[in-house]
Amino acid sequence: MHDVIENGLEEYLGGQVRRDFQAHLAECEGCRVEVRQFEELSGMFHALREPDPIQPDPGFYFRVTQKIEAQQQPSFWSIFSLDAAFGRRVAFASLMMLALVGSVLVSTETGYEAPGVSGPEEAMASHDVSIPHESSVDRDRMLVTLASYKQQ
Amino acid sequence: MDYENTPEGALVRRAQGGDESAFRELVEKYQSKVFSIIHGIVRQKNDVEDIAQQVFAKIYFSIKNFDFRSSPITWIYKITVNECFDYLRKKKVRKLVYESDLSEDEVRRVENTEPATDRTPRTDVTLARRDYMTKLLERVSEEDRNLLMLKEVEGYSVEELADMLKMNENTVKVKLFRARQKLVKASQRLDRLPGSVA
Repeated sequence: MHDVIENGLEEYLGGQVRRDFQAHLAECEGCRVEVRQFEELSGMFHALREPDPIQPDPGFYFRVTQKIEAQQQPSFWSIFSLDAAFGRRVAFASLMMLALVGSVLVSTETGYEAPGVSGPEEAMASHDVSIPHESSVDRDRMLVTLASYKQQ
Repeated sequence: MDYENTPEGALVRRAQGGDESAFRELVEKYQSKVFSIIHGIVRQKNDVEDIAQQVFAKIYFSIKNFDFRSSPITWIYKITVNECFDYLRKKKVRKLVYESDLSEDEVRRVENTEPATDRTPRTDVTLARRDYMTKLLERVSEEDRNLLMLKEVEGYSVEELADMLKMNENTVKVKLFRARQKLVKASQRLDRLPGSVA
């Protein structure tokens, strides 16, 4: 699209004819096609103009205020909505609590020891041969006790 | 132009300060205009009041943010047009027109915007054109849409638009030209769609 058309289009669509605009249209097929498209669409805007004005029914303002009040009333879900600053504080406190609980759990886990077994002698002594045992279970228990002793 | 120091601006200022009577005046002053705009776009008389109520509720809730960068009527117009297009998006209203009343080009356009299965007799050329235009306007930006509507539907001149939007006339002309080009492109895309829904 050439400048002369771009500059004069609004006047042309408004019914004002500029000589340079017309002269250019007469010699430029591309601009002619484009201007025709603009004209066609411009004409179709008339369909959006309101033919018969309609007036609001009496009491329109009252109904508007009712609508506003309805939109102002807090919904059930708004109880759960938090403002941004408070939300950040709650998130931070939750994270701190999580870290604290985590560190307590970790320290408890590392401090755990097999109760009442301090060495192989004691383990051997605690093994009462007078009581009947299933031999495979006994062997496993003994191996676990000895392995945990070696690790210490 | 300093819109804050106009009678409309003063009214808006009072409403911004929480003066309920000023808001009431504002509603009463612009309600006819808002109804006309809505009816022009939507053409569903039963829904005009609902949309208008929503427009004024939006004005009520956002009036404190109005900064007088445009005239109050331009701001209200923008809210109204946006509300209409939201409504149309939600409802997807379709109207039928008599094919015989249309030119060949219009028939082609309307046929392309009607679904292939929906070939019942049509009743109104204007309604078909309106539907076609609303479909096109949905495809351009909010700014382009409002500018074109103000120019083509409301009939404001370039000079008036420049004044209302606080732009110089050349900027308005360039913006209008680009908006028109986008609309033509949208129209070409829409016409290419086989059996697209109006």
